[in-house]
Formats: sequence, C-alpha cells, structure tokens
Amino acid sequence: MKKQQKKEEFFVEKQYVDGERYNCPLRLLNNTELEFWLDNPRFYETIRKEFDTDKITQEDIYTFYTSPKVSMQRDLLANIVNDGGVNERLIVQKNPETKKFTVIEGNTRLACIRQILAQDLIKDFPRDVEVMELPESLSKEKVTYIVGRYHIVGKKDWSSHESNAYVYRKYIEVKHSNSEKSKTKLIDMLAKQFGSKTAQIKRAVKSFEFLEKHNLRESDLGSRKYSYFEMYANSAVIQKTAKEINDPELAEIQGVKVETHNAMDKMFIKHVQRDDCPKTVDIRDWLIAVCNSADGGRIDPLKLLIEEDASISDAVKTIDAGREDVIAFFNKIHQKLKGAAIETKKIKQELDADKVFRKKIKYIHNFLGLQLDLPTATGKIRSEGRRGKAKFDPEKVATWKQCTMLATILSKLPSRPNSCQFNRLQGYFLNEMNEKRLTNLKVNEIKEFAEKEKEVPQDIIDAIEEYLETK
Amino acid sequence: MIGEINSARVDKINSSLIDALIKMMLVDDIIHKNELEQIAEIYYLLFDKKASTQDLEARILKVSENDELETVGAVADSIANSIRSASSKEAATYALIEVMISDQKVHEKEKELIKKIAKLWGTTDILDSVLNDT
Repeated sequence: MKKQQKKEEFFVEKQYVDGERYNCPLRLLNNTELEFWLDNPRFYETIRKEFDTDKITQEDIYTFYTSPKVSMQRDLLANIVNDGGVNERLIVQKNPETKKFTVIEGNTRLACIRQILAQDLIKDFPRDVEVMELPESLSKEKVTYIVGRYHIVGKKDWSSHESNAYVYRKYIEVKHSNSEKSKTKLIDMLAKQFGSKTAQIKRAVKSFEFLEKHNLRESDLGSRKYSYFEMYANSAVIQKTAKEINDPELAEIQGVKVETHNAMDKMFIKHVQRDDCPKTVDIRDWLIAVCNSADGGRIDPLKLLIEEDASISDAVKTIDAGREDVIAFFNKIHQKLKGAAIETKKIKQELDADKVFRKKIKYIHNFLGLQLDLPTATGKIRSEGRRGKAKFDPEKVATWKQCTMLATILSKLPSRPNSCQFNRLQGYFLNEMNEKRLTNLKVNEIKEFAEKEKEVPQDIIDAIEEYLETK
Repeated sequence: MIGEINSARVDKINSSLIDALIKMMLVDDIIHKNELEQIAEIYYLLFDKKASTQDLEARILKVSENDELETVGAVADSIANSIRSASSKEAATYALIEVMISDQKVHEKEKELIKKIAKLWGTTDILDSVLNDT
C-alpha cells in the first residue's frame, strides 16, 4: 500500500498563498474518484438557470457540459481527441463529505475525459487522470485565492459573467459571515482573497447588484447581455444620472417626468432587449453623451429617451456635439484654473520669460474677450446708429460720424456725379462741420432727400464743386 | 467701371481705417466692449452695412497676431502709412479719437499713439480741439 502511494506521489508541486507554502502532490487518480465542483463559477449561474434548482447533481453537470449548448467543451474535446490525451493537469481537493476529489480547476476536461471513455473516442484511453492535489486543510478562502489566480487575475479564460458571478457569490458569503463590516472592507477582504485589485471586485459586485435588483441574475438576458449591464452599472457618469432619474421626485427636479421608480434602469434594460440595440461600446458612449448633456442642464435628449421612449441613437442625435465639446473644454479649463492645479506664479514667470508663450496667452485673452463682447457690440448697431436714441437737437453741430454717414450714403447713390466721391464728400462735410455750418437738422434733411429721391441734392453738388475749387 | 474702381478704392481706404482702429484698440492690451461698439458702429457708417461678428472677430485676431506691432512707434507708423488722402486722415483722426475715449479712460499708450499719428498726418489741431472739448 505504501509502495503504491509512493508510486502515485511521484512529484510534489508547491503553491504559495499568503506567505505560506503548501506542498501539493501530483498524482494519478481514477476518474471515478473525481467529482465536478458543484460551486463551479464557470457554469454555476447557467446550470442553476437550466435546471431551475439549487440542488444540482453530478449527473446534471455532466449532462449540461456535454450538451450542444456548451460549445467550449466540444472544442476542448476535439483538441484532446486530436492530441490523443489531456495535456493539462487538473487541480483537485479532497471533499471530506463525499470522500471524493472535487475538481477545482479542470471541470470541462473531466467532462471530456468521461465522454471519451463513455463513447470510446480514443482507443485505450487511460482511466487515470493526472492531478495536483490541494491539501484538504486548505481553507475555502485560500482555494478561492487559487481559483482567482487562475481565472480572474491570470488566465482569464472565464467569461466576465462567469468570473464576476463567482466573485459576487463569494461577496455574499463574506457579507453574511461579516455583517458588521462595511462594503468597502468586504471588498478589500475579497480582493485580498482573490489576489486581485479592489476595482475588479467592486465592478463585479456593482454589476451583480444591478442584476439582482432587477431580477436579471436568474434570467437568460442577464448572462447573455451581461456586458451591457456591467457597463451600465459601473459607469460613474451614467450612474450619477440614473440616481436622479430612478427617483421620481429627483427626476422631476431635473425636469424629467417619470411614472415609476427606476425609470432609467428600466429604460436601459428595455433598450438592451431591442433588436437594433447597438454594441456595448456604442451604447456606452451615446448614453454617457446624453447623461453629460443632462448634467450640463441640456435635458432634452434624456427626456426623449425616458419620456418619449426614443432609441439611444435617436436621442444622441439631438445632442449638439460641437456645443458639448465646447462646454466640456471650458469646464475642464475652468476646473483647472479654479483648483490648485495651476500655479499663477508660474504663469507670470513664463509670461516674462517666453515671448511665444506670452503671445499665445494674449491671443487666448483677445479671443475670449471677443467671444464675450463682440456679439453684443455688433448686435447693437442699428440703422440709426448706436446713439440713435439720444435727444435730437436740430441746431447742434453735426459730428464727424454724421459726416462719414452722409459721405457713405451719397457716394453709394448710382446717380451721383463724379465729383461726389466718398473722399470728397467726407472732406466737404468735415469742413462744413468744422465751420459749424452742418447741423443735425441739415444732416437729416440731406439724408431724407437722398433716401427719397435717390440722388445727391443739387445744392450739395454745387457746394462740393466750389469746395474742390477752393481746395 | 470707373465707378466700381472708385468704390473698391474707397472700400480699401475704409478697411485700412477699420484696421487702424483695431490697432488703436489693441495698443493698451485691453479690449473694452465700448471700443468694440465704436469699431462696429464706424464700420457700419463706412460700409453702410453691419459688420458680421465672425468677420470682425477674424479681422481683430489677425491684427492682434501681427508681430511687427510690438511698440507704440511701430503701430503709429503702420497706421499712418495705411491712410494717405488728407480727408481720410482727418476722418481717421476723429475715428481714432472715438475709439480711444470710448472706454471712458485715455490710456497712456493710446495717447502716445494718437499723438504720433496726428503728428505724422498733420491733424494735431483736430486732436487738440476734440480733446479740449471732451
């Protein structure tokens, strides 16, 4: 018996967890000594949905793995048949209850091995399987860590839904056994257990909390469209808006009328089910654009989405992208200037030291100054001039502006004689102004005549000719 | 045909005046909204049409980027050389004064600039008479 055991334990591999070393024997075990891992994250959620029960049997798992639904198992089976054997060792741990070895890593391979044997797909295929045995004493947490290292941090061969479902189940477990601990603490604990980043755990928890909240965890939609829900639940911008719109009172303050609670979440779930639902990245970018726009007070695209049941692509089309860019650009600068990120002392130093930099700042200054004041300035100019509303004094001597205006009007008349060119007219009227002969009343008379008769008054023509002669 | 040529020549002279006003506005490094209003109004008087915001903006930014206008003397020479006829110089002096005083404050650089221009143009008497009146 001892000899046999020695033969089996031909090698030992070391596993390091939390600063401790564990000797894990590499063994050959008969496949009948192995059992599927009932808690296998890979198919736990899917199998549960498939059999509609929490009490899943070993037979259920084998049936499921070898069903046409699991294409991955078919692919692996084809590879093994092609290679003639299994190339990767399984990781197992003794189950004290069943006295069998639970396959922690390699359940799909176990299904393949059993199928090969059952259907005799490879001639003389060995019934013994190469395994690495984790010590029985290794705690659940440490097994979790090893699994995480394999699938969540390392190989990442599980889908995001599979790995996050596993993380979430572990989260619920630790939550029950550590009810006094805060969510942040629990996530930190799990991150340590999995040897992963807290952000990764947080992401998984948020996604599955969303699925749970909307009864999607059990549904086919939840796993099939998981990437959408994961994105939605973890986008800070979207969640900020969702928090407001999901609450009817807050939504009303924002100017959006909603009938029920969770209107934003429901809208999204509905969208995900649409035939024309865009790709996750597109829907993410568009919804973020709609939310950013709403956050900046431009609520119409969001209203369209929530109140009018429009598609996200239609709602995003109503956003003025150029406008959003401008707002985002200046918000960023404003934030930087208001915060401590920019040292004004450094700006002053740079202005003194670098001419090119100074020129750029001057340009920006002029540019922004013009944006602020130029539209008003140009908008104020009416046909009567800026000071049209000033009290009219007929005896008051005309201004140079009135002289220029008359020169412009008369010089543009098609019937004006050659002597009445702009410069001459301007010179003449300025001279009249200087001699205090051109009054407001006279200006009005000339202007009205020109506008009515479309010609230069004869007395002006005569006076100009006289003026030119004296010049 | 001659009428069109004359009209184009007048527009060119008036354009030079607008640029001169912009230079005057920029000489103290501060763009005051009253200065902008003055320029927009003078533009209207000279061209008998409203200046479009975009055109005026592009024009101001273009002038502001001119590297050669770093000193008051250079700006004065530039303005003085851009307007040649006596009546235009006279009108331009009035226009420059309007822009200068529009922000209710005569900056030293503006005063220095207009004095230099008036001297170059021979319109110092106009400058003095208007400044004495205000």
